Amino acid sequence: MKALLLAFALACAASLPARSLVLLDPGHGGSDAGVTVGSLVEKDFALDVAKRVQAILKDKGVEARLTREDDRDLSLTARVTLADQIRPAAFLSLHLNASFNAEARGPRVFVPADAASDEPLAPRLEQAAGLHAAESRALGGCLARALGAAGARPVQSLKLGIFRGLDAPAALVELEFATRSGAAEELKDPARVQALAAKVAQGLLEFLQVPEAADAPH
Amino acid sequence: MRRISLAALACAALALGACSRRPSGSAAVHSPLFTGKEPRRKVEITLPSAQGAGFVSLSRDIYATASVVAQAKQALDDLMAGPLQGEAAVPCFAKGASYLEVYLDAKGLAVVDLPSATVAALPGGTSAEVATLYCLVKTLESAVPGVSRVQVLIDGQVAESLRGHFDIADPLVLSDF
Repeated sequence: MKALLLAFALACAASLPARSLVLLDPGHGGSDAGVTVGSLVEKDFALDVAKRVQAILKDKGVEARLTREDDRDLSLTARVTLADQIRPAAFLSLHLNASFNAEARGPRVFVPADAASDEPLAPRLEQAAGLHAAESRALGGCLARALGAAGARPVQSLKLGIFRGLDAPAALVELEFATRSGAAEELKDPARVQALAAKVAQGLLEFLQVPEAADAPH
Repeated sequence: MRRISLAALACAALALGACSRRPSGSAAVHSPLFTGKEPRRKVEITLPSAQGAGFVSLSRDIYATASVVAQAKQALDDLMAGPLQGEAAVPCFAKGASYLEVYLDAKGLAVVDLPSATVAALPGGTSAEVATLYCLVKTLESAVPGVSRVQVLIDGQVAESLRGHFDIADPLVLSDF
Protein backbone atom coordinates (compact mmCIF):
# COMPACT_ATOMS: atom_id res chain seq x y z
CA MET A 1 0.00 0.00 0.00
CA LYS A 2 2.87 2.36 0.87
CA ALA A 3 4.47 1.61 -2.47
CA LEU A 4 1.21 2.41 -4.18
CA LEU A 5 0.93 5.73 -2.39
CA LEU A 6 4.53 6.54 -3.21
CA ALA A 7 3.85 5.80 -6.86
CA PHE A 8 0.87 8.15 -6.76
CA ALA A 9 2.97 10.84 -5.11
CA LEU A 10 5.68 10.53 -7.73
CA ALA A 11 3.10 10.61 -10.48
CA CYS A 12 1.57 13.73 -8.96
CA ALA A 13 4.94 15.42 -8.77
CA ALA A 14 5.52 14.72 -12.45
CA SER A 15 2.24 16.22 -13.55
CA LEU A 16 1.38 19.56 -15.07
CA PRO A 17 2.56 23.11 -14.49
CA ALA A 18 0.88 25.05 -11.71
CA ARG A 19 -2.15 27.31 -12.01
CA SER A 20 -3.67 25.72 -15.06
CA LEU A 21 -7.27 25.69 -16.13
CA VAL A 22 -9.53 23.01 -14.69
CA LEU A 23 -12.86 21.95 -16.17
CA LEU A 24 -15.33 20.63 -13.62
CA ASP A 25 -18.23 18.57 -14.88
CA PRO A 26 -21.22 18.26 -12.57
CA GLY A 27 -22.74 14.95 -13.63
CA HIS A 28 -26.21 14.60 -15.10
CA GLY A 29 -28.62 17.58 -15.13
CA GLY A 30 -32.00 18.59 -16.50
CA SER A 31 -34.22 15.61 -17.19
CA ASP A 32 -31.40 13.30 -16.06
CA ALA A 33 -31.50 13.51 -12.28
CA GLY A 34 -28.92 10.78 -11.73
CA VAL A 35 -29.07 8.92 -8.44
CA THR A 36 -32.04 9.95 -6.34
CA VAL A 37 -32.41 8.81 -2.74
CA GLY A 38 -35.11 10.63 -0.82
CA SER A 39 -34.54 14.33 -1.28
CA LEU A 40 -30.90 13.83 -2.30
CA VAL A 41 -30.63 14.32 -6.05
CA GLU A 42 -27.32 13.67 -7.76
CA LYS A 43 -27.56 16.40 -10.39
CA ASP A 44 -28.05 19.07 -7.69
CA PHE A 45 -25.44 17.59 -5.37
CA ALA A 46 -22.84 17.42 -8.14
CA LEU A 47 -23.48 21.03 -9.13
CA ASP A 48 -23.23 22.15 -5.51
CA VAL A 49 -19.90 20.36 -5.06
CA ALA A 50 -18.56 21.67 -8.36
CA LYS A 51 -19.31 25.27 -7.41
CA ARG A 52 -17.67 24.79 -4.03
CA VAL A 53 -14.57 23.27 -5.65
CA GLN A 54 -14.50 26.12 -8.14
CA ALA A 55 -14.54 28.66 -5.29
CA ILE A 56 -11.75 26.89 -3.40
CA LEU A 57 -9.59 26.69 -6.51
CA LYS A 58 -10.23 30.35 -7.24
CA ASP A 59 -8.90 31.21 -3.78
CA LYS A 60 -5.73 29.36 -4.75
CA GLY A 61 -5.42 31.23 -8.03
CA VAL A 62 -6.59 28.35 -10.19
CA GLU A 63 -9.28 29.04 -12.74
CA ALA A 64 -12.00 26.42 -12.89
CA ARG A 65 -14.89 26.39 -15.32
CA LEU A 66 -18.01 24.24 -15.19
CA THR A 67 -19.58 22.29 -18.04
CA ARG A 68 -22.95 23.42 -16.70
CA GLU A 69 -23.67 26.27 -14.31
CA ASP A 70 -27.29 25.36 -13.75
CA ASP A 71 -29.78 22.52 -14.01
CA ARG A 72 -29.90 21.62 -17.68
CA ASP A 73 -29.71 18.66 -20.02
CA LEU A 74 -26.19 18.15 -21.32
CA SER A 75 -25.16 15.06 -23.24
CA LEU A 76 -21.85 13.35 -22.64
CA THR A 77 -20.84 14.32 -26.16
CA ALA A 78 -21.58 18.00 -25.47
CA ARG A 79 -19.46 17.89 -22.31
CA VAL A 80 -16.57 16.31 -24.20
CA THR A 81 -16.89 18.82 -27.03
CA LEU A 82 -16.66 21.65 -24.54
CA ALA A 83 -13.61 20.11 -22.92
CA ASP A 84 -11.90 19.65 -26.25
CA GLN A 85 -12.48 23.32 -27.05
CA ILE A 86 -11.06 24.47 -23.73
CA ARG A 87 -8.25 21.89 -23.48
CA PRO A 88 -8.06 22.00 -19.68
CA ALA A 89 -5.09 20.80 -17.68
CA ALA A 90 -7.53 18.56 -15.86
CA PHE A 91 -11.09 17.45 -16.52
CA LEU A 92 -13.05 16.15 -13.55
CA SER A 93 -16.56 14.76 -13.67
CA LEU A 94 -18.33 14.79 -10.29
CA HIS A 95 -20.95 12.21 -9.35
CA LEU A 96 -22.80 10.38 -6.62
CA ASN A 97 -22.61 6.62 -6.69
CA ALA A 98 -25.21 3.89 -6.26
CA SER A 99 -25.05 0.18 -5.70
CA PHE A 100 -27.43 -2.73 -5.48
CA ASN A 101 -25.53 -3.57 -2.32
CA ALA A 102 -26.54 -1.24 0.54
CA GLU A 103 -23.21 -1.95 2.25
CA ALA A 104 -21.18 -0.26 -0.48
CA ARG A 105 -19.54 2.91 0.80
CA GLY A 106 -16.78 5.41 0.15
CA PRO A 107 -15.46 7.31 -2.84
CA ARG A 108 -14.50 5.72 -6.15
CA VAL A 109 -12.13 7.25 -8.70
CA PHE A 110 -12.23 6.28 -12.37
CA VAL A 111 -9.83 7.24 -15.16
CA PRO A 112 -9.76 6.42 -18.88
CA ALA A 113 -8.45 3.09 -20.01
CA ASP A 114 -5.32 3.07 -22.15
CA ALA A 115 -5.79 3.72 -25.85
CA ALA A 116 -6.97 0.55 -27.52
CA SER A 117 -3.72 -0.99 -28.72
CA ASP A 118 -5.58 -3.74 -30.54
CA GLU A 119 -7.44 -1.28 -32.69
CA PRO A 120 -4.80 1.00 -34.21
CA LEU A 121 -7.17 2.21 -36.88
CA ALA A 122 -9.75 3.53 -34.42
CA PRO A 123 -10.33 7.24 -34.94
CA ARG A 124 -7.98 9.35 -32.87
CA LEU A 125 -10.91 11.04 -31.19
CA GLU A 126 -12.11 7.71 -29.86
CA GLN A 127 -8.68 7.01 -28.42
CA ALA A 128 -7.99 10.55 -27.19
CA ALA A 129 -8.64 10.01 -23.51
CA GLY A 130 -6.46 6.92 -23.61
CA LEU A 131 -3.63 9.02 -24.99
CA HIS A 132 -3.63 10.90 -21.68
CA ALA A 133 -3.77 7.69 -19.68
CA ALA A 134 -0.61 8.30 -17.68
CA GLU A 135 -1.61 11.85 -16.72
CA SER A 136 -5.11 10.69 -15.96
CA ARG A 137 -3.77 7.99 -13.67
CA ALA A 138 -1.69 10.66 -11.91
CA LEU A 139 -4.79 12.84 -11.55
CA GLY A 140 -6.78 9.89 -10.28
CA GLY A 141 -4.06 9.05 -7.80
CA CYS A 142 -4.04 12.58 -6.40
CA LEU A 143 -7.82 12.53 -6.06
CA ALA A 144 -7.91 9.06 -4.53
CA ARG A 145 -5.38 10.02 -1.88
CA ALA A 146 -7.15 13.28 -1.09
CA LEU A 147 -10.51 11.55 -0.80
CA GLY A 148 -9.17 8.53 1.02
CA ALA A 149 -10.34 6.08 -1.62
CA ALA A 150 -9.43 2.63 -0.38
CA GLY A 151 -9.56 -0.92 -1.62
CA ALA A 152 -7.45 -2.98 -3.95
CA ARG A 153 -8.05 -0.60 -6.82
CA PRO A 154 -8.30 2.97 -5.49
CA VAL A 155 -8.08 4.21 -9.06
CA GLN A 156 -9.86 2.13 -11.66
CA SER A 157 -9.49 2.42 -15.43
CA LEU A 158 -12.85 2.15 -17.15
CA LYS A 159 -14.40 2.76 -20.53
CA LEU A 160 -16.75 5.51 -19.42
CA GLY A 161 -18.80 7.51 -21.88
CA ILE A 162 -17.50 10.82 -20.57
CA PHE A 163 -13.98 9.81 -21.60
CA ARG A 164 -14.86 9.03 -25.23
CA GLY A 165 -12.99 11.49 -27.40
CA LEU A 166 -11.87 13.55 -24.42
CA ASP A 167 -8.48 15.09 -25.21
CA ALA A 168 -7.30 15.95 -21.69
CA PRO A 169 -6.15 14.30 -18.48
CA ALA A 170 -9.42 13.21 -16.94
CA ALA A 171 -11.07 11.49 -14.03
CA LEU A 172 -14.57 10.77 -12.81
CA VAL A 173 -15.13 10.77 -9.08
CA GLU A 174 -18.07 9.11 -7.38
CA LEU A 175 -17.93 10.93 -4.08
CA GLU A 176 -20.04 8.55 -2.01
CA PHE A 177 -22.69 5.86 -2.34
CA ALA A 178 -26.01 7.60 -1.94
CA THR A 179 -27.54 4.15 -1.50
CA ARG A 180 -25.61 3.52 1.71
CA SER A 181 -27.82 3.59 4.77
CA GLY A 182 -27.72 7.10 6.24
CA ALA A 183 -25.74 8.60 3.36
CA ALA A 184 -28.60 10.62 1.96
CA GLU A 185 -29.02 12.51 5.24
CA GLU A 186 -25.26 13.01 5.66
CA LEU A 187 -24.88 14.40 2.17
CA LYS A 188 -27.58 16.99 2.77
CA ASP A 189 -25.33 18.57 5.42
CA PRO A 190 -23.57 21.62 3.90
CA ALA A 191 -20.54 21.09 6.14
CA ARG A 192 -20.17 17.54 4.83
CA VAL A 193 -20.50 18.76 1.24
CA GLN A 194 -17.92 21.48 1.85
CA ALA A 195 -15.53 18.93 3.32
CA LEU A 196 -15.88 16.74 0.25
CA ALA A 197 -15.33 19.74 -2.02
CA ALA A 198 -12.19 20.64 -0.08
CA LYS A 199 -10.81 17.13 -0.59
CA VAL A 200 -11.53 17.24 -4.30
CA ALA A 201 -9.83 20.63 -4.56
CA GLN A 202 -6.86 19.29 -2.59
CA GLY A 203 -6.43 16.47 -5.07
CA LEU A 204 -6.64 18.83 -8.02
CA LEU A 205 -4.16 21.25 -6.45
CA GLU A 206 -1.75 18.43 -5.83
CA PHE A 207 -2.03 17.32 -9.42
CA LEU A 208 -1.49 20.89 -10.62
CA GLN A 209 1.40 21.32 -8.18
CA VAL A 210 -0.19 24.30 -6.51
CA PRO A 211 0.98 24.57 -2.89
CA GLU A 212 -1.99 24.30 -0.57
CA ALA A 213 -0.83 27.45 1.21
CA ALA A 214 -0.92 29.39 -2.03
CA ASP A 215 -3.37 32.24 -2.32
CA ALA A 216 -4.76 33.90 -5.38
CA PRO A 217 -2.58 36.71 -6.72
CA HIS A 218 -3.99 40.10 -5.88
CA MET B 1 -14.94 0.78 -37.78
CA ARG B 2 -15.81 -0.14 -34.23
CA ARG B 3 -19.26 1.34 -34.05
CA ILE B 4 -21.93 -1.13 -34.90
CA SER B 5 -24.37 0.07 -37.51
CA LEU B 6 -28.09 -0.07 -37.11
CA ALA B 7 -28.27 -1.63 -40.55
CA ALA B 8 -26.12 -4.52 -39.36
CA LEU B 9 -28.34 -4.92 -36.35
CA ALA B 10 -31.39 -4.92 -38.55
CA CYS B 11 -29.83 -7.65 -40.67
CA ALA B 12 -29.09 -9.65 -37.55
CA ALA B 13 -32.68 -9.21 -36.49
CA LEU B 14 -34.00 -10.38 -39.83
CA ALA B 15 -31.69 -13.34 -39.95
CA LEU B 16 -31.88 -14.46 -36.38
CA GLY B 17 -34.74 -12.82 -34.58
CA ALA B 18 -38.23 -14.03 -33.96
CA CYS B 19 -37.15 -17.63 -33.70
CA SER B 20 -37.97 -17.79 -30.05
CA ARG B 21 -39.73 -15.69 -27.48
CA ARG B 22 -39.82 -15.34 -23.75
CA PRO B 23 -42.80 -15.86 -21.49
CA SER B 24 -45.07 -13.15 -20.20
CA GLY B 25 -43.77 -10.13 -18.33
CA SER B 26 -41.59 -8.53 -20.97
CA ALA B 27 -42.20 -5.15 -22.54
CA ALA B 28 -42.71 -6.69 -25.95
CA VAL B 29 -45.25 -9.31 -26.99
CA HIS B 30 -43.45 -12.64 -26.87
CA SER B 31 -44.46 -16.25 -27.41
CA PRO B 32 -43.01 -19.00 -25.22
CA LEU B 33 -39.27 -19.62 -25.35
CA PHE B 34 -39.59 -23.36 -24.89
CA THR B 35 -42.14 -26.16 -24.94
CA GLY B 36 -40.95 -27.71 -21.69
CA LYS B 37 -40.19 -30.97 -23.48
CA GLU B 38 -36.59 -30.06 -24.30
CA PRO B 39 -33.76 -31.48 -22.21
CA ARG B 40 -32.41 -29.24 -19.49
CA ARG B 41 -28.89 -27.93 -19.22
CA LYS B 42 -27.07 -26.01 -16.53
CA VAL B 43 -25.78 -22.51 -17.12
CA GLU B 44 -24.11 -19.99 -14.85
CA ILE B 45 -25.38 -16.50 -14.28
CA THR B 46 -23.27 -13.84 -12.59
CA LEU B 47 -24.60 -11.48 -9.94
CA PRO B 48 -22.99 -8.98 -7.54
CA SER B 49 -21.96 -10.58 -4.28
CA ALA B 50 -23.98 -9.73 -1.21
CA GLN B 51 -20.72 -9.66 0.76
CA GLY B 52 -18.90 -6.53 -0.29
CA ALA B 53 -17.25 -6.14 -3.66
CA GLY B 54 -17.06 -8.87 -6.23
CA PHE B 55 -19.40 -11.18 -8.05
CA VAL B 56 -20.70 -14.70 -7.69
CA SER B 57 -21.56 -17.31 -10.28
CA LEU B 58 -24.84 -19.11 -9.70
CA SER B 59 -26.16 -22.20 -11.40
CA ARG B 60 -29.46 -22.20 -13.24
CA ASP B 61 -31.31 -24.76 -15.35
CA ILE B 62 -32.53 -23.74 -18.77
CA TYR B 63 -34.16 -25.70 -21.58
CA ALA B 64 -31.68 -26.68 -24.27
CA THR B 65 -33.88 -25.46 -27.07
CA ALA B 66 -32.93 -25.79 -30.70
CA SER B 67 -32.80 -22.02 -30.83
CA VAL B 68 -29.67 -20.64 -29.21
CA VAL B 69 -31.42 -17.28 -29.03
CA ALA B 70 -34.08 -18.87 -26.85
CA GLN B 71 -31.37 -20.20 -24.56
CA ALA B 72 -29.82 -16.75 -24.34
CA LYS B 73 -33.21 -15.32 -23.43
CA GLN B 74 -33.73 -17.91 -20.72
CA ALA B 75 -30.35 -17.04 -19.21
CA LEU B 76 -31.25 -13.36 -19.42
CA ASP B 77 -34.58 -14.02 -17.73
CA ASP B 78 -32.76 -15.75 -14.88
CA LEU B 79 -30.25 -12.90 -14.65
CA MET B 80 -32.98 -10.28 -14.49
CA ALA B 81 -34.91 -12.28 -11.89
CA GLY B 82 -31.94 -11.91 -9.55
CA PRO B 83 -30.82 -14.20 -6.74
CA LEU B 84 -32.97 -16.97 -5.34
CA GLN B 85 -33.75 -17.10 -1.66
CA GLY B 86 -30.66 -17.98 0.34
CA GLU B 87 -28.15 -17.06 -2.36
CA ALA B 88 -25.46 -14.63 -1.21
CA ALA B 89 -25.99 -12.24 -4.08
CA VAL B 90 -27.88 -9.06 -4.90
CA PRO B 91 -29.78 -8.23 -8.11
CA CYS B 92 -28.18 -6.39 -10.99
CA PHE B 93 -31.46 -5.22 -12.48
CA ALA B 94 -34.44 -3.64 -10.79
CA LYS B 95 -37.57 -5.63 -10.16
CA GLY B 96 -39.70 -6.04 -13.27
CA ALA B 97 -36.75 -5.70 -15.66
CA SER B 98 -37.26 -6.99 -19.16
CA TYR B 99 -35.74 -6.93 -22.62
CA LEU B 100 -37.33 -6.10 -25.92
CA GLU B 101 -35.34 -8.58 -28.00
CA VAL B 102 -32.11 -10.54 -28.14
CA TYR B 103 -30.20 -11.21 -31.34
CA LEU B 104 -27.13 -13.33 -32.01
CA ASP B 105 -24.90 -13.26 -35.04
CA ALA B 106 -22.47 -15.85 -36.30
CA LYS B 107 -19.41 -13.89 -35.16
CA GLY B 108 -19.98 -14.02 -31.43
CA LEU B 109 -22.03 -10.84 -31.10
CA ALA B 110 -25.09 -10.81 -28.87
CA VAL B 111 -27.37 -7.81 -29.12
CA VAL B 112 -29.60 -7.11 -26.13
CA ASP B 113 -32.28 -4.51 -26.66
CA LEU B 114 -33.48 -3.07 -23.35
CA PRO B 115 -36.60 -0.98 -22.94
CA SER B 116 -35.99 2.49 -21.55
CA ALA B 117 -38.23 1.66 -18.57
CA THR B 118 -35.83 -1.09 -17.50
CA VAL B 119 -32.88 1.28 -17.86
CA ALA B 120 -34.66 4.07 -15.99
CA ALA B 121 -35.34 1.70 -13.09
CA LEU B 122 -31.61 1.11 -12.54
CA PRO B 123 -30.27 2.98 -9.52
CA GLY B 124 -27.66 4.99 -11.45
CA GLY B 125 -24.08 5.55 -10.39
CA THR B 126 -20.99 4.17 -12.05
CA SER B 127 -20.65 1.19 -9.74
CA ALA B 128 -24.20 -0.05 -10.22
CA GLU B 129 -23.99 0.53 -13.95
CA VAL B 130 -20.73 -1.37 -14.23
CA ALA B 131 -22.20 -4.20 -12.16
CA THR B 132 -25.24 -4.48 -14.41
CA LEU B 133 -23.20 -4.51 -17.60
CA TYR B 134 -20.53 -6.86 -16.29
CA CYS B 135 -23.14 -9.36 -15.12
CA LEU B 136 -24.93 -9.11 -18.45
CA VAL B 137 -21.80 -9.71 -20.51
CA LYS B 138 -20.41 -12.39 -18.21
CA THR B 139 -23.70 -14.28 -18.10
CA LEU B 140 -24.23 -14.27 -21.84
CA GLU B 141 -20.63 -15.21 -22.56
CA SER B 142 -20.85 -18.05 -20.08
CA ALA B 143 -24.32 -19.34 -20.89
CA VAL B 144 -24.40 -18.96 -24.65
CA PRO B 145 -21.83 -20.87 -26.70
CA GLY B 146 -19.79 -18.62 -28.94
CA VAL B 147 -20.83 -15.27 -27.51
CA SER B 148 -17.85 -13.02 -26.88
CA ARG B 149 -19.27 -9.52 -27.35
CA VAL B 150 -22.50 -7.87 -26.25
CA GLN B 151 -24.04 -4.80 -27.81
CA VAL B 152 -26.62 -3.13 -25.60
CA LEU B 153 -29.37 -1.10 -27.23
CA ILE B 154 -32.00 1.03 -25.56
CA ASP B 155 -35.35 1.02 -27.32
CA GLY B 156 -33.63 -0.26 -30.44
CA GLN B 157 -31.05 2.53 -30.54
CA VAL B 158 -27.34 2.65 -29.89
CA ALA B 159 -26.87 4.78 -26.76
CA GLU B 160 -24.00 6.66 -25.10
CA SER B 161 -24.55 4.87 -21.80
CA LEU B 162 -27.19 3.19 -19.65
CA ARG B 163 -27.50 5.93 -17.04
CA GLY B 164 -24.75 8.39 -17.94
CA HIS B 165 -21.59 6.45 -17.17
CA PHE B 166 -20.26 3.35 -18.91
CA ASP B 167 -19.70 3.69 -22.66
CA ILE B 168 -22.04 1.29 -24.44
CA ALA B 169 -21.80 2.77 -27.91
CA ASP B 170 -19.71 -0.21 -28.99
CA PRO B 171 -20.07 -3.91 -28.21
CA LEU B 172 -18.79 -4.79 -24.75
CA VAL B 173 -16.24 -7.48 -23.97
CA LEU B 174 -15.19 -8.85 -20.60
CA SER B 175 -11.83 -7.09 -20.79
CA ASP B 176 -13.68 -3.76 -20.76
CA PHE B 177 -14.23 -4.37 -17.06
